[in-house]
Amino acid sequence: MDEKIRERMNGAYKDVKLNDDLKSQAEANLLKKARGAGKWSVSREMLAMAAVVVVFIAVNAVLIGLNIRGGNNVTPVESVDDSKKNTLAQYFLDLKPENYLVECEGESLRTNGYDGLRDMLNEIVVSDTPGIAGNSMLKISALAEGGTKTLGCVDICDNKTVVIDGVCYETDVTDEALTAIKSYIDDAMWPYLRDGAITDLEYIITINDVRTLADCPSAYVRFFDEGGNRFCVAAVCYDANKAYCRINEESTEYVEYGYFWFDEDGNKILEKKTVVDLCDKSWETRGVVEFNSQWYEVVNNKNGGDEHNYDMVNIMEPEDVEHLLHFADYEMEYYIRSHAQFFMEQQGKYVVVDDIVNVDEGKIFDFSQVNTVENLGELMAASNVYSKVLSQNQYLVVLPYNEDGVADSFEGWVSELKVGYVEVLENRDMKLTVIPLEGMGNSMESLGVTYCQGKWYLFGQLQTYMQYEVIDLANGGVEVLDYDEGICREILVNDDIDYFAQVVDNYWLLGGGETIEKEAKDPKTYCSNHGWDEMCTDTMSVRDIYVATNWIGKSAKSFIELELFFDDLVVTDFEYDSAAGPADSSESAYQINLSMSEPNFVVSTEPDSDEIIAVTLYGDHNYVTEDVWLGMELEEVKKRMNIDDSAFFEEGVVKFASFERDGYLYELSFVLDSNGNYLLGFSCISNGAKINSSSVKSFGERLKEDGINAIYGK
Amino acid sequence: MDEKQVSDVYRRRVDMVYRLCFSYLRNKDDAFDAMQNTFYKMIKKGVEFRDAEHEKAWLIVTASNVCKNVLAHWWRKTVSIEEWDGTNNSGSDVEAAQEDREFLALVLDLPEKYRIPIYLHYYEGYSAVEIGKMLKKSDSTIRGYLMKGREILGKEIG
Repeated sequence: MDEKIRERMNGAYKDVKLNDDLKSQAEANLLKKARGAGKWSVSREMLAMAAVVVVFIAVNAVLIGLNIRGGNNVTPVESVDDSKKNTLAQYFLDLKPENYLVECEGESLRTNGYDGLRDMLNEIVVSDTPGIAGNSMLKISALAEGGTKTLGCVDICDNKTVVIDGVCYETDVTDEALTAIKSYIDDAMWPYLRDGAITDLEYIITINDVRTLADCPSAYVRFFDEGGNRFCVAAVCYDANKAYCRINEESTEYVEYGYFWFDEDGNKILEKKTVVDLCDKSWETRGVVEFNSQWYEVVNNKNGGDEHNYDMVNIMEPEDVEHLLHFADYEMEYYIRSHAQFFMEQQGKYVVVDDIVNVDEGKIFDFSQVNTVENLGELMAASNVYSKVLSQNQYLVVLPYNEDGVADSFEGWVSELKVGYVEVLENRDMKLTVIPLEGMGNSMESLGVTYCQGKWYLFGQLQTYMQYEVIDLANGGVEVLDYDEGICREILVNDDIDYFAQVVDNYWLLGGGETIEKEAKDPKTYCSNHGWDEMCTDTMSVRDIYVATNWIGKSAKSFIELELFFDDLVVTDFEYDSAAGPADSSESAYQINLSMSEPNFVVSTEPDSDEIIAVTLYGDHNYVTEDVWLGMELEEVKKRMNIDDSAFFEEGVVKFASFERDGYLYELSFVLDSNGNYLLGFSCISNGAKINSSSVKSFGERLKEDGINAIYGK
Repeated sequence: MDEKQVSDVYRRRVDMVYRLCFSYLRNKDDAFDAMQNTFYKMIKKGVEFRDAEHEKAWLIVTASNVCKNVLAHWWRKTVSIEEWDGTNNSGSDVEAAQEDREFLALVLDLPEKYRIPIYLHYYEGYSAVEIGKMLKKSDSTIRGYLMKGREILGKEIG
């Protein structure tokens, strides 16, 4: 699999590179920087924007009364007040355009949003780089759909800035000037952005409309992971007068939001729109969750008090409204908290949230906080908890902790699990048993819970493979049992273990371990069942197994069980018919090959079948025939094996022979040596079933398709 | 670094840095900008590379930081995966090129925490320990990411 992924990665990334023009262009920019002659790099987009026309808006009125000492007559300020610098930087940051254009002495740089501009301004202020800060005046423009708007001019170090009619002049900066410029920008820019960039939800027809909307300062758009980002929520904020306002602003009173689905061409196929009145204080958060292949809007209501009360509305079936009260339904609540993606929070205003952690803030996270049944429910519902309702009054709660003993998330690998078993008594008191299990030094491979003979057990499969650790959850006590001992055997036969974690590299990883075979066998039993008792020794090899068994017609599963015998993995490899025409473009495998790590022989099945249809022996074998000699000259082999010329074909400097003999398929390859002789370099012998199976390709066919290296495993 | 050194490093590493940025940002234009910023930081910092491996690792770490900074911006959350148009594809095997594009889309669709280790391991050839150092994660964590990423890709490619 590793090799296959590596190969596919090489193919996938081979064209992810810049064309020569862009590469040279970027190099020229960098070298310019290296020389110190230039101040800015020019992005690819910037080159394309060379023709952008700057639109100026008259601001004379705004600037009346400013302390302008006249045109370009510069009066430098001797010292720079840091607080003034911050104010100056901040007022630009308060603006909301998507991108900014900063121009300096004929060169320009596009910055990405506020953070980009902030970084740039901070860098200039901090660096005091000669030539950048000092005598240069920066003209800052906002970029929005449809054009560019000059916001103002600034020389941060010298604190000179003013803009008149969109033309930049140098002068002293005063607080009044800053305020005026901010007002100018607010007054001049905001209507432009509002009217020029907003796309009302009503006008969303294609996925590109949503992307355009995302550029708008008053809109929030989030795509959810559903088949290629074609499902999204888009929200637009309004103030009390139903006028657009910026997101997360205090003035937001209403949020109109819609869920949109788009087809593969980006055309809208489904939508549902709603207006949320932020005066309605009954809700805390809104999000979506996928459940049973349907998407639901999830609203966490405050009405539930301590009990969580989620309203779920099917947004794929707008008329189908489903309200669920989940206090008693721990698993559903856990599911929502684990899977819901929240995007809106009510904290007196509209707040965008992106993480479920925000929702759980202040909630119950630890056993120490559990003292009532209600608290227990809270804990079980928390997003970083694995929980299971064992019965009406028995619960399993598993919490993850990191190296420092701090509650962790199941998202990554965790150092320690605390497994809690809770029994709720008749008087609603609780009996809590906590079992700490560190990943470090733990001999378990996987951990689960199971029910047997009236009791619940924590069930750990040990790395010794044939042993299991069993913990009686109600009564305590740990037993290590062999696979066929006592309750362990009973549990395995019932095969009803709910694995929830496994140990990998001394860490716990949430998720089930390998399913334990009902008929798990030790080597001795395995040998006995296959009649190998006499040869069943510690030195028995994979090849011995090959010789001992005629695998044709047997179960592939029994081959996989060799894992137990050799304590090694059976490698599964799928073969695809890459030469098939369009009818087979689904790329379904035509053959499954199973081999141990040392693939001296490989058994093959057809897809969806457990029956072995072919066995292939590779390499310098001695068992099938004594008549093959590696390194022997072609003519000698041909003579000894009595091979007909029609069996040979040539591929580059290698000659191949493929022929049937006594029910076996012989496939030989001869390599040209320095003396011009072809020598036997490799042989492969398969039994007759392979010959008769039309679905199994011959050695020669595979060579032609995969190349020589594939056969040699290089 | 003098001009020649900059030019040499750039020519040696531009494709690698661009690919990494593309893996993070999944967008050609952003990847181009991030690539430029990465080399700009190299120039600005005047870093002296001890050897080729140091040079490569430094650029990977810096490019990762540049990209993460871009991704931290709120508007990035609305950017969808860009379909690679394969305009650079010079191969004549259209079907193979299509398969490559589909696999690239599959890789780019992986969550970032799996995507970047998968790229660094399978394309750049770094071990889990080396990737862990670069991404400031434990090697166990990286192995977990690789395992999960491999599992997801494995399901698709069989």
